[in-house]
Amino acid sequence: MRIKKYYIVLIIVSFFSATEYVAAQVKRIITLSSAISETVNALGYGKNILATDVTSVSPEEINRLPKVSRNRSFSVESITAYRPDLILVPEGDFSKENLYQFKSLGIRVVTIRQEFSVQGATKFIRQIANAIGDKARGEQLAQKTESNIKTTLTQLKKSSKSPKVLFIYARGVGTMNVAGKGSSIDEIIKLAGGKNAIQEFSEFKPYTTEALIKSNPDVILMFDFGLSSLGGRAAFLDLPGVSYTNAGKNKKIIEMNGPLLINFSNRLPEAIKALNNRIL
Amino acid sequence: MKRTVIYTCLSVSLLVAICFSLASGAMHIPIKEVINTLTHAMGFSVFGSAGHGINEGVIMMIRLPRTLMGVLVGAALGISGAAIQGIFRNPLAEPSLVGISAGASLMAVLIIAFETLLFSSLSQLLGYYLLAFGAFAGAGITAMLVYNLSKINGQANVSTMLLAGIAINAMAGALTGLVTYLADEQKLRSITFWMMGSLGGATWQNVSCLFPFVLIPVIGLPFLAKGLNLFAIGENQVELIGLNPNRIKILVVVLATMAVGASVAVSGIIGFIGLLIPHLTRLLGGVDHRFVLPVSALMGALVLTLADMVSRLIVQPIELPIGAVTALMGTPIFLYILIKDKKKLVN
Repeated sequence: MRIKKYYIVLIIVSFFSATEYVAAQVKRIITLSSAISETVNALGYGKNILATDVTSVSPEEINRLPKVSRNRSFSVESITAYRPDLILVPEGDFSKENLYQFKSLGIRVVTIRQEFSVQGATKFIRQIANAIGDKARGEQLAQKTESNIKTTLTQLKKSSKSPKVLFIYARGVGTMNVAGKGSSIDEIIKLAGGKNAIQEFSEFKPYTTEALIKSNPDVILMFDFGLSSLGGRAAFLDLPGVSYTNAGKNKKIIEMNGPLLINFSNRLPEAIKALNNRIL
Repeated sequence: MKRTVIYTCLSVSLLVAICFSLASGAMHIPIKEVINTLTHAMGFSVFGSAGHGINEGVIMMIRLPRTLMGVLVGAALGISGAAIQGIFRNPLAEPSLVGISAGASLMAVLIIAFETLLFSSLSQLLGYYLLAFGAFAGAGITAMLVYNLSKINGQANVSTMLLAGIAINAMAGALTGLVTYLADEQKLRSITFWMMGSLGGATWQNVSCLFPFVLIPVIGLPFLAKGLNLFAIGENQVELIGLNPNRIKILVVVLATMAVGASVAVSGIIGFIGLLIPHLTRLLGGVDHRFVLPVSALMGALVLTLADMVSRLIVQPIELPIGAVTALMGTPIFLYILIKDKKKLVN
């Protein structure tokens, strides 16, 4: 009985201390996605980050930080060991139990929902700035990003016909998925002046040779680690069916940095420009 | 005499393991502080005041529920395994072989994958407990199904029950595979949790939810020990002394389902404990179920507590799925027993 009473008290105490943190500025942050880490850093709070997840590899000073995850698994205690006062995590990465555990420890967790669009990018920046408690700088960075995107979009290379781009997410020949409508990839392809080769379905679906030939893309896009997992460019061009597509015939297989392409944060203008340059 | 020694040794080891488990983890917390916090929570103090806020929180909110969950789940799997091997008169039986675990996890996986589509009204009603409830229901349904399939002339036939269990297992496995294929990345992550097992989600809520479901079988099953002993000789022996073999079977299946279903609901599938622990107990002190059942509970608790410690410590900063640890620890021991007893098994 004593224990129960004790933990009710602890929950109440932690609840109050959590609300207090909102007012005070956050000192010790853990960021659990590459987009979040990069944004916190761009807001000028890179030095407050104690540890990140494995995907946070850029810029260099973020990459040097300790990593508290492997793939997508986290342990509550490893994160707590850094004694953070704020954890920023993408929505859905923590289970209900994990959220409850952090709450009972009095550690503030803010889950960030990301929308993959220009507006989504600025909203993302503002959300993170609010969580840190520095609205002003968030507003500044959001506006700067927005105007950068506008300038970038006017400077893009244009062509009379937008090329059909097929994105393949590969982790070895056995695991290949293509990006459908509504995915982050779909949006960035559109922003960069291309057209997603897949219009039949949404989200990611397994790759089949027949679907590849049917969609006949002008460009095949992959993450850099994706292409190398298939054995590089030459090996990819040899895969069945690739030579029947325009992309295969013209050897238009391009690889890009994964986080840059799909983060939809302050580096979005850079991503749009880079992809536009490669596909046109 | 020998058995008293075994009971004492196991109890002491379990207590020691619990202490170590509470004192080890990614957070470095001095042992003195652990003792302080615990004694403080119990209402008295040894070394004076309790520890710092966050250390205290980690011990009380993360480690203590987690360790307790390990003890409860281990006991549940150990004793259910022993009881099920008893009614099947087959040393290879275990809860997952009769389809109970597979049914529980299939239900859980279905709920994860289709929660937003189908269960939203139920989800609002049951909230946090929907998954646990679903897993439990899945275990119950499969157990009943297997039991009814195995009935011949109103008598549950053991070998048919095993075969039905295997079939249901395969079907549940295939359906789970299909759902996995359809699920998106986020759901995939929680599905992995159910397939490999983890105690990482332990909270006071789910531990207290689990408690009665384990306590009742752990107390109840040993009362059936005498009947199970007679089962080993043959079903008609049970009838001869005026016990109803069918009733014993039903009671064992109900109690084991209760314990295993609730365990799977909170921790996912943790393999090998149910299979291995009864063997180890028989190796220690013979085949009498009056001994095997309670000791399997104790030993299950001990082994799972240790396995959880290994899973937390070995690859920091992350944790290994505990199902992988128990299988890795269990398989060599199991193979050893198998090779040693090969001749005995054949005869």
